[in-house]
Amino acid sequence: MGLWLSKLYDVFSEFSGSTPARILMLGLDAAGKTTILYKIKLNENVHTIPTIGFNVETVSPVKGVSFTVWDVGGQEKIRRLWQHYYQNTEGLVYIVDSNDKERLSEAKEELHGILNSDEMRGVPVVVVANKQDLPRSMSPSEVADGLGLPKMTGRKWYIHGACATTGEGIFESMKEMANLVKNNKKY
Amino acid sequence: MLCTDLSQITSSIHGENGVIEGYLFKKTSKGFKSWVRRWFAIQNNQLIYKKRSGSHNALSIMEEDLRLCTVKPAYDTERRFCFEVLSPTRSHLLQADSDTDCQMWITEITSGISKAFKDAENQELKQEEEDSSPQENTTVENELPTTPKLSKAQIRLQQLFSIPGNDHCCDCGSQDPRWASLNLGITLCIECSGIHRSFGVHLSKVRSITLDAWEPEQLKVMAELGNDIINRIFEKNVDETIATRATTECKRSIRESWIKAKYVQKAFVMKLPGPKTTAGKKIRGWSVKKKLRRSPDKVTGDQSDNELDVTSGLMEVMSVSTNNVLNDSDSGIGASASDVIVFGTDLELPDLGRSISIESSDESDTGEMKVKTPSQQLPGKI
Repeated sequence: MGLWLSKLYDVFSEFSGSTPARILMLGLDAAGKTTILYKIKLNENVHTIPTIGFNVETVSPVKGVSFTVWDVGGQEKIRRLWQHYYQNTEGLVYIVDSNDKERLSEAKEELHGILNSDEMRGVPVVVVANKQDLPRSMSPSEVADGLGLPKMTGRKWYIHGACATTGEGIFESMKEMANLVKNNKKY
Repeated sequence: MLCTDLSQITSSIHGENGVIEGYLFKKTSKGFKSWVRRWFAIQNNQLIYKKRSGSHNALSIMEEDLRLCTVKPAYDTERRFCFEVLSPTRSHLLQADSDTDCQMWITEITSGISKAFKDAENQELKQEEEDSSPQENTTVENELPTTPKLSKAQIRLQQLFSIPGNDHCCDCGSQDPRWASLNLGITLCIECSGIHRSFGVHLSKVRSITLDAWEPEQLKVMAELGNDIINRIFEKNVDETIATRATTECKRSIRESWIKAKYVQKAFVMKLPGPKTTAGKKIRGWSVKKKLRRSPDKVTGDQSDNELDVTSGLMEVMSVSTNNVLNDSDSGIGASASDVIVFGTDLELPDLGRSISIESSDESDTGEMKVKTPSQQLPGKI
């Protein structure tokens, strides 16, 4: 009987509106995507190795909010596969290594490449200016300028400084993501 | 009946290097989500299954590109020994016959995914052959012999591996390292690369040899350094009371403290013989900078973005035998106050047979800093 009920539940849950929002997490290699994913999931500092492929986890960073976060590897050749993950994405979390000034322009190119895709039209973006703990990291506003965020039109965006290893700024960013996704759904 | 079936099944699983096949239960995705038993295999970088064992062996493709898949154990299910195969649009719940089998499937599908990435690299080769121009292979001085039928990444691997010491991870000695630290000029295994990445790019800039695009200048820098040279400096006075030497199979914690001691604390670097050292004088590191490639028309609408230098389509390099001076606004990470790298072929010999001069970008008043060998200087901070 219990099994029967659980099967029924499975069937119905597909149609209910409580499915987690699909969140895509991208950024250049070594930006800290996987570290952030598991910080949210486990509230732990996991030691990562480069992601070949992707990780996906269902997380609840804020009470009452449920996300399926897709963390896709950032190496140049894996970036070509990013487009396969765009479909049905409700929010983009873009992670930037604030310490890597040299590659900020590359991060900008990639970000605009994602946002210019049809499937990502109107999808809100939260930029996480990660690694704020490192000595020469750029401030979130420098990162925002470097990525050309202020000039972006027709899209809600938000930037937050963060340090994945301490968790600082991560949950704030996710909270903002939740707000943006919620507001985006209304229209 | 059931028993004989099970023994048969267990022996039917072969798993090695991303090749595996055998029976699994699959949770159907439609209707009442019942479990059905199917024969699964990885073939041609795809996850496939057969509808029925027996004569009617129609193959179904479950996932057509393993590069877009991930696999993980599934604990919150009504059955034991389950794992999940996920792709951007689908998820499949599969059940193995035992915990061991489940682990084996996860391991083999994971290596199947890695293999899919490697194979994709090889497939690019044909295209590159058509596109490639003859000068492409002359990016590294002292050209190493390359056979024509290799992809760019394979050529790069060959070139890097021919540098002394580079065919083993610089930190743990694993064979066939596929990662590199651009600023240290070393090759690394994926495990050690993970630790290097955790330090930040001011200490180590990690790239994949096969999955990242490289600038010719970055290869040139690698060609001048290499694991042997670097270890002669960074492992000159190894003291295992400070940190145990990392090995291929060692624990993450050992690996981490070894690499930290080696590059962050510089605990094993040869002590300077003379009084004239780097102390008191800040000597800068070097940087290889990728300039943004942009078409001019794109930039016209983007005037305030003065960091971009449209005229320079190529990289500016502070490296071997070039004489570039980066202006400060452009120098990016190179302007960070990292200190010095001086490399000689053998630091113990006062008269070095070979010298390498590495320039650095600098934010000091000279705007340029030359570090010269031969000398007895040693790395201070990097």
